[in-house]
Amino acid sequence: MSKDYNQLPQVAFSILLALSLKERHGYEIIKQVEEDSNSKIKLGPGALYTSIKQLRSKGLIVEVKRPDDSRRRYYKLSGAGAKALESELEYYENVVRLAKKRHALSNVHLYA
Amino acid sequence: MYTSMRRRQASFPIYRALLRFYPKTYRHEYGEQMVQTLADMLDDQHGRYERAAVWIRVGSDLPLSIVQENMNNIGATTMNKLTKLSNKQLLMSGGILAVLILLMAATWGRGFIVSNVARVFYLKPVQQMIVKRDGELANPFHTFGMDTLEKTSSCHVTAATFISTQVECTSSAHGYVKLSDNKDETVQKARALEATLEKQGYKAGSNEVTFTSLVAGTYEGKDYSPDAFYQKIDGPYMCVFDTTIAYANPAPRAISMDLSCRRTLEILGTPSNAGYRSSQGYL
Repeated sequence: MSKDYNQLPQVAFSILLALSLKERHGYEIIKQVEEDSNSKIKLGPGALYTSIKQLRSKGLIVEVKRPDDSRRRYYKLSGAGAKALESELEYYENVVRLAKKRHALSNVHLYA
Repeated sequence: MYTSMRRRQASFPIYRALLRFYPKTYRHEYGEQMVQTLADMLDDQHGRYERAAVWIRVGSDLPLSIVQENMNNIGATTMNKLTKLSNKQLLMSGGILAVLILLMAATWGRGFIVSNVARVFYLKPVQQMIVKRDGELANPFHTFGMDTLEKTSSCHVTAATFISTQVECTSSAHGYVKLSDNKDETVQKARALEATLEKQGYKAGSNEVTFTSLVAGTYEGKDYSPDAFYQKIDGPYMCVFDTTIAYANPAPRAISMDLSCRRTLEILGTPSNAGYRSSQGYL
C-alpha cells in the first residue's frame, strides 16, 4: 500500500473518480460526481475549479484541448493521478474489508 | 448550443462581476471556464425552477471558493516575495524582525521581568531588614501590646519611562492597639521608644510631631494628629517607623503603628537611593 494514500479531500477524490473513465469538461465532471455520489455531492463552478486547480498543481490531472470543442477545456487523469486514485481506492477497500471482518457494520446498528 | 451560449454569456454580467473577487491569476485561468460551465448547467435545465436551483447552487458555491482562492493567493504571494529575496536581504529582514520583537518584548515585558528579578533578589533581604529593625527598636509592636500584626511583602513597578524601569520591593508590618488607661506608664514607654529611635539613627519627621507627643495627645482627647514618623536610610534600604492616632475621643484610645522597609531596583534610570538621600526621603 502506498504511504500517501487517503490524502485526497472528498471532492478531489470524486473528481479523479469521474475522470477515471474518460476525459471530461467542467459540467460533465459536475454531473458525473453528482451521479457517483447519489446526489450527495453537488458541485458549483467555484468549488469545481478550485479543486481542479489543486489537482492540476499536484500533477494529478492534465488539461486536454479538443479541436471539436474549442470553448471548453477538458481534463483527464495523469499517470500520477491514476496512481493516486488507485492508492485511494486500495485504502477504502482495506477499510471496508476491515470493517466487515470486525462486523463493524452490524454493530453500527446497535448505536443507531 | 453555440447561439444559446452567446445569449447566455451576454446575460451573465452579475456572475462575471462576482468573478472579479477572485485573484487575477485565478480569474484569468478559470474565469471563462466557470462562465462556460454555468452556461452548460443552465442549458441542461428546462424548467424555471430547475434553473433557479442552478443559480442557488452557484450563489452558495461562490463565496467559499472566493475566500479560499484569495487566502491561497495571499500565501502564495508572500512565499513568492520571500523566495525572490537574496540571502543577505533575508538575513537583514530577519534581523530587523528580531530587533522589533525584542523591543516589543522589552516594552511590554520589562515590568514583569524586572519585578520578578527584584522579587528573587531583593524581597527576602527586605523582609530580613524588617526583622532587624524590629529587633533594634526592642520590638515596638510587642512593647505596646500589638501581638497580631498584618505583614505584607511585595515588589511592583513604581516608575517606567521609554527605557528605564523602577521596581520597589517593600515589606511592612502593621499593628493596631488600644492604649491602657495608665497614661504615665504608656507615655513612659513612648518616650523610651523615641529614645531608641534616636539612638538607632532614625531621623524624626519635620512636622514636629513626635511619638511621645502623639501618644500623650490621645490622653488629652485628641482624635487627630499628623503622623509621627521616623526614617532611617542604611545602604540601599530605607525604613520608616510611622504612628497615627486610630481613635481617641471618646475612649478607648488607640493607635496604629507601621514599620516598613523598601529597596528599589532601577534599570537604566536614576538610582532611587540617591534620590532618597538628596531629598531625605519623606523628611
